[in-house]
Amino acid sequence: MSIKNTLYTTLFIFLSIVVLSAFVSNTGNSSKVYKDELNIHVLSDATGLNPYTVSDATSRRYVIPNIMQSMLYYDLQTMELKPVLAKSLPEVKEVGDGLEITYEIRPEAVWDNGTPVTAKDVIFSYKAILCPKVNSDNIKSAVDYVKDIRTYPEDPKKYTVICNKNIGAVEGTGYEINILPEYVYDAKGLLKKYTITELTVENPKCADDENVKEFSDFFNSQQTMREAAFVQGSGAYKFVSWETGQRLILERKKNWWGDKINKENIFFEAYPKRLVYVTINSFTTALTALKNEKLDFIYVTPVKDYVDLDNSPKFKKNFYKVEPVQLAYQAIGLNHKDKILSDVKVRQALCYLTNVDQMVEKVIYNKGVRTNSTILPMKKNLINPAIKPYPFDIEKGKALLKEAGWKDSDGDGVLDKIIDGKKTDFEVTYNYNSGNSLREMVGLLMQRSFHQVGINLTIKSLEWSLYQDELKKHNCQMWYQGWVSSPGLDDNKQLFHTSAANGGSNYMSFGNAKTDKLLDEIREEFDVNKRKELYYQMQVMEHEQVPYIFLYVQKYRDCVHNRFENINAGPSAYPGVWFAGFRVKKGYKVEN
Amino acid sequence: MSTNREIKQDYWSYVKRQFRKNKRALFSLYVVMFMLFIAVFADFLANEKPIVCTYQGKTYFPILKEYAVQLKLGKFPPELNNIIWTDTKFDFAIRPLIPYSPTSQDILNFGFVSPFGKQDVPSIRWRHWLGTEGIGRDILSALIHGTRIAFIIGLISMSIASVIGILLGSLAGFFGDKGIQISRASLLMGLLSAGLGLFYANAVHGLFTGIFVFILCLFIGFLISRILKKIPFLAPKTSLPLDIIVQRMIEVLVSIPRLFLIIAVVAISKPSIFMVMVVIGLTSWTEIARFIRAELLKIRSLEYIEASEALGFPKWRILLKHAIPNALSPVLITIAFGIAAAILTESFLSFIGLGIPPETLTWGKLLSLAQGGRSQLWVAIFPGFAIFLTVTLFNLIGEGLTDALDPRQKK
Amino acid sequence: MLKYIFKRILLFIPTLFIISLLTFFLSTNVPGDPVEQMLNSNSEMGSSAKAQAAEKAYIAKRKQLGLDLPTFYFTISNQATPKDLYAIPKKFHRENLTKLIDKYGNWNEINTYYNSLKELDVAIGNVESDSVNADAIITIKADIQQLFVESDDNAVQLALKDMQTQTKVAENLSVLSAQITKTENLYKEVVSKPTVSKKFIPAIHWYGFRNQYHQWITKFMKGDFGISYQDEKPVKTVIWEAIRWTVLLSIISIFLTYLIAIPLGIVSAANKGSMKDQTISTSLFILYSLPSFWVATLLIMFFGGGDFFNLFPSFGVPQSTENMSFFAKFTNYVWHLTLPIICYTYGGLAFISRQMRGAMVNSLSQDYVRTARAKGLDEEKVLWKHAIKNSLLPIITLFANVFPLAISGAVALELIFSIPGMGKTAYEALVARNYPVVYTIVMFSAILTLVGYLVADILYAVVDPRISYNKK
Repeated sequence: MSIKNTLYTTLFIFLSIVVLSAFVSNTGNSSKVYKDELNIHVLSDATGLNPYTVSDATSRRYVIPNIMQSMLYYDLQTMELKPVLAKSLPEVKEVGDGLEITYEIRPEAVWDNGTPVTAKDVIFSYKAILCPKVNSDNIKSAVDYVKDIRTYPEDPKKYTVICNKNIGAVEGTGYEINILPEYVYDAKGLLKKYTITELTVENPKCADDENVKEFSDFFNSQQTMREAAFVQGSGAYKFVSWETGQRLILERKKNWWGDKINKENIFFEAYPKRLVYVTINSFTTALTALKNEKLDFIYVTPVKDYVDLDNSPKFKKNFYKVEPVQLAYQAIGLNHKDKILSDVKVRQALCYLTNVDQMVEKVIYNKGVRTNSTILPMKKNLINPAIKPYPFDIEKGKALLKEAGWKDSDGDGVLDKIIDGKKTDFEVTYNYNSGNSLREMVGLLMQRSFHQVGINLTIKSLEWSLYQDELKKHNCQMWYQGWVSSPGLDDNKQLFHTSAANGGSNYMSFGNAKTDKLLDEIREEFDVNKRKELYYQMQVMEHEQVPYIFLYVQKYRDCVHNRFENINAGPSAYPGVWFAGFRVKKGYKVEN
Repeated sequence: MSTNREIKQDYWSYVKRQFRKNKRALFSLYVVMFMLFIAVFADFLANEKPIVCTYQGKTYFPILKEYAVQLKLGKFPPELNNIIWTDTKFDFAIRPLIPYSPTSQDILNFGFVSPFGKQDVPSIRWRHWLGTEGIGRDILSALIHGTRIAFIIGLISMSIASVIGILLGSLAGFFGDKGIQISRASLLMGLLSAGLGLFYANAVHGLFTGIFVFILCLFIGFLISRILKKIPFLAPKTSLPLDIIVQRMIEVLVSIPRLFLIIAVVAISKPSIFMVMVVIGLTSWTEIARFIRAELLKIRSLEYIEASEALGFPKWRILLKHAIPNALSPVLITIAFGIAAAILTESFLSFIGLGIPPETLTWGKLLSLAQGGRSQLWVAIFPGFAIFLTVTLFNLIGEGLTDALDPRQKK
Repeated sequence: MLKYIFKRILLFIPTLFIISLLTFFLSTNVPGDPVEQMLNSNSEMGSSAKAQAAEKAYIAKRKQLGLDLPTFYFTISNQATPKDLYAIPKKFHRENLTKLIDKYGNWNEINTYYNSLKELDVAIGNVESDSVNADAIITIKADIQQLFVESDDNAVQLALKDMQTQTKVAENLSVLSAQITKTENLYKEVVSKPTVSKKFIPAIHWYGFRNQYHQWITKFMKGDFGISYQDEKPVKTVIWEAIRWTVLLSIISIFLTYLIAIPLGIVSAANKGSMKDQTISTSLFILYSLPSFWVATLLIMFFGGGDFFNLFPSFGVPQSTENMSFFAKFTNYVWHLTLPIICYTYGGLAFISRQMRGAMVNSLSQDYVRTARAKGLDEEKVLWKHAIKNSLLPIITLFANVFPLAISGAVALELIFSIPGMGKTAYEALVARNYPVVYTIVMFSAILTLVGYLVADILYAVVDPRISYNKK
């Protein structure tokens, strides 16, 4: 008796508490006065706020650009470089076989303690990246062609970067590197002992040095990742608080130096009082929160969910959609070392057999555009007009395969050919990383059209680490590949140069002397017209040699709350907007 | 001898009779048989290929032919080789009840077409009764074919798990730490041959050769131990702490994350449905073993067991005939739930890349499809119902069995 | 009994040792490289501008993490495998050499062949590239790279032959010809003089205390769990941040599960076969068959303030602000945690209540119950006092799992409700091969498992005094 009664009583108490709490805690949000903040959805929490040691997109692309600044930013729509910390675009001079890039820092630019941003801070920033024990592996490659920095005693705000000839140099030195205040990150001046040259060359002495060790221990520590005192920059916002896995808050600085610049470009506009990054790991949950106006901005990756949002009255009432094209493309990689795919005719045939238009329509619901080279559609003037995408044409594919010597000699429905003395069936495997249903769908669609000509396509998902391993070993025959490209100049040496087959990202083993030469030349060509001509040639190679079956460029699928305007949607920032520029429309009530 | 067998027959026919008395269990058994029927004849119930068709003046039996092709006994004629069966116009064709295979993509009905909504199909004959998934595969067809995979995986993996679990669990529970005595020679050779067995199994290629080599090593060790027993020093018997050993095995297996083990398995073996069953079987026996051990700890001290021991019945016989049947109730429940769990685990294994290739839909995969987004939540209802059926039916059968096996009801 | 408990606790040590060994062994054999994972961030879209994880950085990182050391104090391998194979930094080369050893068993020959290949690699790097030989150089380089990772006899032969033909393309390539011929001959040596028998003779290599396992376990025992590879936080912090919410949620939901499931099981058993029993069983089975992620999604959609009711928050854990009253704090907690707890709870009901029912049915047919009934005892009393005690064995067996369960969490639910919990942490750590975190989680859940099983064994003897562990 007693056990039974106790059980039931406890249960009853529990239930009543739940019901009660739902009514007590849920004070409605009927008043239409908004807080002066922008609630941004992030799918996974930031890992840290040190611009050199973190690598995840949330930290690097969502949060850090609002706290720290670099010399130049890319304009979101035009994709031209705009001066931010720099007074104007840098002066680039070719000196011998190298480059000299001279920057002048804006005279107004100051750190939070009022001291000006000077060349000393720039030099410190380069040293911190180059410092051997600092975990800056993700950004080291952006400065590996830098040889030295020259300063001018008469002008502490002027400096010249001396580096190898490389079209990426301006982007690398101006855009990639956020400048950090030396007085915060190296108060003791530990790195002063070494010059940049000493750090760039192999220098065993400096790796074991006590100062270097002390600095890197501090710089790699959690302090520079998440303690407000050691996360500082010249941007409009300062880092205030962070509950891991929940929300990260930035606050607008009251006296920001950029306010004096008078909105020269969008990067000097910063309206919301707070930027709140809310971590919600599932889109279903995030979209519910969005409809409930708990979020003001979301980039919806699942396409179907994004499309279906139009059916929700609550969404329609309070939000609008923005769809800037992404600066990233998707493609199917083909292994050129594979005994079946090494034949260029076979690769071209596969292009004819892949129904890309169908994929754009059915897989990404037309939220994207087709691309047929690494030069993406928004860079119109660089696209070779002579190149037309491969149409979906089964008969043409069949004919090419026949030319390449493939036929179904044994009548089992699968093409075959004698290769190296052995009868080989046309059986290839397509790999993608497990859990990505979009990539799976692409595979299934290919499987269907390949089947019609007698190609057996096996689809296999691999767990992420394993997938990476197999790609690096060049073990995959066909695979799904997504690349983010630069808003600036395209340098595909890491993708297509034969030297990148060993350790780089040329998982296809693509390339010959001609393409290598082209890639090298593109890298060093500073004349706009000549470079365009080289790009044209490279596109021809990409089209004829088929390193990838190029698929499409997706659109960002952003939703913004109705009260915001001045979104500045464009391809060159992730996720296609500039948060600080979000301005509340007239007619909406906002309180602190 | 002959009387012994008679008694045995008597016992099982008695169990059968008892089981038949339980209406619900019997009904469940019939439903399971019906599902088995669906599993076996899935190809004829839902298939993109017609059962009979005439094409360019010739008559074919494509579904039967497909079996021959699979067994490499025949070939399709070239004109039928690379066609899309659902799109092909035949002069005459009898198509199965559901004219879709679980792999056929209906281009016109992409993107989770709902069962109640408008469908772009030529006639009601081609309707997707339970809707379609992302790239237009028919969900009903997937459910029908999924029955086969579900039954194979659920039943076989749980058989593996129950054999291991019941064996080890009952050894540990019934004999305890002191119940079995073996000679030092056997102990020594057992350890040694197991160690060497592992070494050589690792040195040869192939899973089955490895297992064979391992067993061979154990056997040789056993033979040698027979000889070594003659040596006086090695002859004395020590007790084998079975309970300790089995418990530690369970603890170790439970502690290591399953995903970790699975990734390791993926690395060493080619993915196949067989590996899925083995992996699930080898990792899910622990619960069964623990249940049966707990029951036997109690049972071994009951009067009737002690009485049988006093009567001098061999221990193995007591264990098999009296102890285990009494301890089966929690085990049968665990197995019933285990079958459902195994079906769900399959989808996770496919996700990792071990298991059924992505073009084939299974119950588990249909369920996880619903995870994709809000617009397709209804997809989960059908496989959910199938799993509900499985759990319920096997539970009821298990309950019937428990009642039937219970000797106390024998009067 | 005390003696038994003491013995069991002593047994913890070897068991934990074995678990740590096995975990460690698995981690070194599972494909996927933690260093690679660290250098390339875990995102599906690479950045083409700087995708290359420079080899130098790789080797440095590997050294920094101590992954260049031998894995264990010793290895048990065979005579064919050399002691210092682990020291070859390139993982793919190491794997290929292992394959060759497995195939031919003659390390000396394989090693000379490997070295000759490396010399060739250096030699080709020194050849001046011009318009005539450029393609040939590229092909040869690709062939060499392939040879480094190729063990298939046919493919190796083809690649070697291909290189030889390429040298004829240009004048200045003929210097390589000799080296290629040498490599070819060395490869023939490898194939022609196999000593596969060596593979079958066991060998033990001793590496001393400077090994990965020793470094990890000694630190671990001192309470230093290392630094998480992913975000460079101390593992302690990572786990502490995750475990708070998981333990809170698990304990409440486990408590609720048992609180609901046991009475349901008993009621079912007492009314076996009746309408009541059937209704309870069927509804529990239905609950079991509903995937929790599905129910969670539905609950959020309907009650989380989307298009329908706005009753509960749709995401996150409660945030406590300083100036909240106790009551407000408390209701805030309940408000946030109700939906997750429902989802954590309902799935477990069926199994537990079914076990309870089964055990109870069994008990109710026992003689003493009949005796008690015959004595005219109240049916309720028979059920809730006498029979229940004898039906607890399966429940205790299940209950032992509670301890590790309390810290394990559930990935899908944590993702849906945005709870920073252990399930997510453990899963992400495994996927990223973030071993310091994996090891720590495994060891803690192992300890809890051991404790749980011991508690279960003690409880068996408490509820049923006939159970004793010292019976012959």
